[in-house]
Amino acid sequence: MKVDVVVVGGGPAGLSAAIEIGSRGGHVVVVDDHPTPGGKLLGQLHQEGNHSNWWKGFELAQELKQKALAANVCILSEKQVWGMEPGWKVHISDLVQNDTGMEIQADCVLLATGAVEKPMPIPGWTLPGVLAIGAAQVMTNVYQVLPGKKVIVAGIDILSLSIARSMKLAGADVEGIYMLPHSPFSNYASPLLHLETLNEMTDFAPSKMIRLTGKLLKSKTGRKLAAQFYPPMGIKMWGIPIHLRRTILSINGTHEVESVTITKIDVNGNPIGEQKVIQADTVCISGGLSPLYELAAMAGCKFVTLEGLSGTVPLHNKELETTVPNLFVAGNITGIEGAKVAMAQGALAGKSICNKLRIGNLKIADMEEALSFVEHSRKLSDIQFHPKVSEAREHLDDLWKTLIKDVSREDKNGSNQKLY
Amino acid sequence: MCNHSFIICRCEEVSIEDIQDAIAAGASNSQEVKMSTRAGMGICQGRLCRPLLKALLPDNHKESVHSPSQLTFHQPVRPVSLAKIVKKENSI
Amino acid sequence: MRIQHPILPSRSTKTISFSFNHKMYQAREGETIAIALWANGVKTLRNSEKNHEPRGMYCGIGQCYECRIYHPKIGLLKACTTRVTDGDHYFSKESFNEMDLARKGGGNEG
Repeated sequence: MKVDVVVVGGGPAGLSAAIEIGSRGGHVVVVDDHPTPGGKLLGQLHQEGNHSNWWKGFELAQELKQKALAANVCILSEKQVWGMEPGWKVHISDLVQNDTGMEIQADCVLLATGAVEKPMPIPGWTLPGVLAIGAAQVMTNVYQVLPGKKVIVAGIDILSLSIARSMKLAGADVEGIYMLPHSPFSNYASPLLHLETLNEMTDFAPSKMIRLTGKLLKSKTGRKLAAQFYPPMGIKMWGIPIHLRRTILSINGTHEVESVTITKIDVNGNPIGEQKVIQADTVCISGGLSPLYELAAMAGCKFVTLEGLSGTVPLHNKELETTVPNLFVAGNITGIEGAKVAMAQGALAGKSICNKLRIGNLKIADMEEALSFVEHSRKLSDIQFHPKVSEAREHLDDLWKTLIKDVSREDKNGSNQKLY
Repeated sequence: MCNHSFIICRCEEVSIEDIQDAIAAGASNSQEVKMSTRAGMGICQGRLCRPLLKALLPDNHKESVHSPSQLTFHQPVRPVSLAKIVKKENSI
Repeated sequence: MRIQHPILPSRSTKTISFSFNHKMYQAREGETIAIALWANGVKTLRNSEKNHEPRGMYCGIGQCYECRIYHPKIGLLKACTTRVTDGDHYFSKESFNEMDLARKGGGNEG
């Protein structure tokens, strides 16, 4: 089968890109490994700005799917891409082992594979009943099954706060949200360091008290005071205690999760005695999100590691093309920024691809509009995964420009040009 | 870090002590640890443990632009039956 | 435990059946195997090959393969991304292997 574009990943970025390409007459296939397209939108649920309207991700997912189908996009669900060869030849198979699979030829490939959760090993984390926080979100909001009756959450971040709230709303007893252990795997998390990132989140907080305290967090002294005098019973958000000065030492149980051992920690994250065992049947671990870039790596892309993008991402230009010609990226694979930015990036990538393949009649103004819409979405996003994301994006642009300069210098000296 | 042991590579059941033993025996990067402990060689092909090994043995990036990891990525990136790979090779 | 979410619309109420390691369970149409089992209180999907420790769903998005189970005709399945098929029988690897051995042993005697 030969098409113009294969989009890997049917989340907000992938679907948005496919809509742009399909609606201009391009032949595009979206490959997604879940039963229904929509990616992480399917489980997302949060309250908008004035804290009264509920934003339901699955409604947006349905809308995108309908638009894609209306634009003649072919969506292959419950299929995975297991390999690619330059040219492009994309190898696709069912999720089960014994089918024969298929190969699709395409001029361009867009990787919109999103992110995976960073694992956070804690003794006992392999026990049944321990879930990555994303699994708890899908279970609760998509399938409407409670992860557990008594839930403990490890990791204090935007995602864990939002999902803890979802679980409580659904009827779970969320006993508390605890700090991750201080270790190389948590980037040496500590209450003091954590208050720096938390202060970015307080504008999003529901209660006036937390918003006021938020102002205290803007200065280093304020943070030291806040860490030192953090209430031992935790500060409650939506009725769930957040324990900045406590972490999980171990998850206990013979066949499944039965309890967790909690310890008090100092402002730098070191355990300072006062251990307690708490009964629980579920532990949700939030280690943060990391771009899922394995196909880009396999295709030979160059990468950059930038904290503001939450990890290692394929190096790409403003039009979202990577260092491998005709390989594009959009969404969380380019850096963790959430659904709204992902959609804007998807639309941009779709237009860039149409431009490259001369699909439809794109004008310079269309491209400029798509670029500024990404910026606009970034500013409007009320959930920021990292405070330094804009700086990281600027740094990424600089790195691309430097690389291009180096390549053209090599060209002048007669070396092989490998990069676009 | 606390005293209790924990698993680093869930697929191959490699513990933190196994990794530390490999480092003590001379492994100096994640690829060498993979070779001596099998961490990263299981069914998920390092998808979960790659960042953990990276945190224990940071790759030294002198340049900001780099290749992704010492643990290289190979096709297939998902487990597939041999029939598919054979079919692919036959079609070349 | 299955719930009716206070804000999100209901899932399908059509009930289907399946078995896991020879025990019958009910699922809501559209549920994945891992979710249906979890809703029935079953979190352990297999024992690890080396240390024989109980393992179950962890990442929930098909990335970690911890939820791997077996179907007699299809083979390896990821329980967290595979929807329940009405009337199907699923097994953990150990049960699957035992069944396989028993079947081969039975054939030789016949």
